[in-house]
Amino acid sequence: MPILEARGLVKRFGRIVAVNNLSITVSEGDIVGLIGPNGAGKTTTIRLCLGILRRDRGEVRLFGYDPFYEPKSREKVGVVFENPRFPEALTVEKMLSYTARIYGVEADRVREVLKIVGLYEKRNALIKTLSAGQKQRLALAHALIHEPLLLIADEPTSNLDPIGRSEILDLLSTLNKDYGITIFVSSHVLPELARIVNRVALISRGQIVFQGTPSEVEEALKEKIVRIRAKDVEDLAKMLSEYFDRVEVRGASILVYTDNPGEVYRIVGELMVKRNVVVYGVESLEVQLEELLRKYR
Amino acid sequence: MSRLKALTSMDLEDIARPPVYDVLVIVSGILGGLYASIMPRATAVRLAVDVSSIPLIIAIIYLAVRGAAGVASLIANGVFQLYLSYPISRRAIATILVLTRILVPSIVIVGAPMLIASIMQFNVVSRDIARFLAVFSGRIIYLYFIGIVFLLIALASKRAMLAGALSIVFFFAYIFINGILNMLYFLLGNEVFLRIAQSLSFSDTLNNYLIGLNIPYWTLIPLPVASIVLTILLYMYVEKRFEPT
Repeated sequence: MPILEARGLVKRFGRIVAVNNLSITVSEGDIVGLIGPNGAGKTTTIRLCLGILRRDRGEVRLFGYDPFYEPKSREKVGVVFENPRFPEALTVEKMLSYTARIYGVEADRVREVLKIVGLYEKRNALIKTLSAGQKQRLALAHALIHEPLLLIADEPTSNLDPIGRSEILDLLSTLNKDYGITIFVSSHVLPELARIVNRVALISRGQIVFQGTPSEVEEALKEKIVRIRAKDVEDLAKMLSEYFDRVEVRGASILVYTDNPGEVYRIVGELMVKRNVVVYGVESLEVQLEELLRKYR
Repeated sequence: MSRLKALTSMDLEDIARPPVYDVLVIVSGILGGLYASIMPRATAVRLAVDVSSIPLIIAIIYLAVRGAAGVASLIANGVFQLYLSYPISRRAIATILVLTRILVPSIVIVGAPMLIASIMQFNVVSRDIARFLAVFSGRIIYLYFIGIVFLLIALASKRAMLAGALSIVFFFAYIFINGILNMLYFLLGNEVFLRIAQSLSFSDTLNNYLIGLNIPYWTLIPLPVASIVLTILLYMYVEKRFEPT
């Protein structure tokens, strides 16, 4: 059953189209990763889904309600914003106490949730004295205080060191597996998110360009790129395209997308011998997010 | 309702952080107390007017610095979007802003010295409590009008420095226009200019009216009406258009 459903979303900021005819669905029990480079439209999509921004076109249903007009839609939603900010003059416990009152939950829940995120010792600290990692934990505690059915997290690992990133991702995974919380999370780092999500949506230039399972993404990541630097790239690219489906000229290099890089090396060797092709270098590259986006664009 | 109360308390506690709020309240309170004890007045209206004059200016500065610039900071630093992520309607959030950024500070800053003065000169105030409170209400209505303009400026500009500066510019322009209207009346003798000027300086006009000067009562209507219109505009803007980006 879909908890969050966005259809044909369009959002413009002046002349810039930040989100362009975007559709996405998050069903109960899912961990959906919204993955894309910086500026792809992840944060705008999340804000539209929460009703924080006004959409120019399209429809959003959050628990069956329109989040821009119906605040009831956010009752069972916990939110972690990128670079989370809170009223700085409050202490951690005070802030969460107010949040508990807003959601109508018992005050005991504050200490419980602080223990879950490992921030109990800092309960009397002023928010302005917390480190970036601690603020991220506070954001998680804040999002979990009312035991939400859906957790929306916008780049929850940004500004964290590798250990902190891993801990937050493990916590998200635990929340999904042990507490049954549906999670919609965004990131620009594909591999780290791919290990916890069960569905991936790749976003580029405000559009979802690929939706699938992590294994499909993994399959795509298995693909290698062989980069060839040669004297006459146009000619060599033409020759290589007789052997491979995807050959691209990028500046002074040729990129060949293949599951079998060894084959590329062999054919390039043959062409050097048989057709006197001048090659300066050949190397294998891992497929990164940008390349994957290019593939599906 | 409990949600509204909780978020209002949270926002109030955040803006009431030391030192600005308490310093302003203490300063205006001391001023009121000093004024009342050093220069005792014969009537409740005179006392109320004199005691609340300086706090009125302090409150206007506060509304620009902590009200308008504070709201713009909320937008810029992302706290506003946090408020919007709660299951609270945009209308309720607009109400919270009106309460925490305009009404409560205005009532506290102007009310504190008036309260002190009323205690210190209880014998004077008790003779005419209604008029004493009318002066107080006039000050608050005037501050509400200024505050609602400042709040609209903050929501539209979304930048703290700009919101603060534009608010101050608006206030001085308002005073300047008032002065020009008075000058035109002095030069041309046309009473319309005087009446418009009186309408603009609602609080002082109300005080003069209470003292018993011959002022048409309708000059007291435009500013409260404008405040209501601006409030409706504020709610419409927050509910239908506003985005915290």
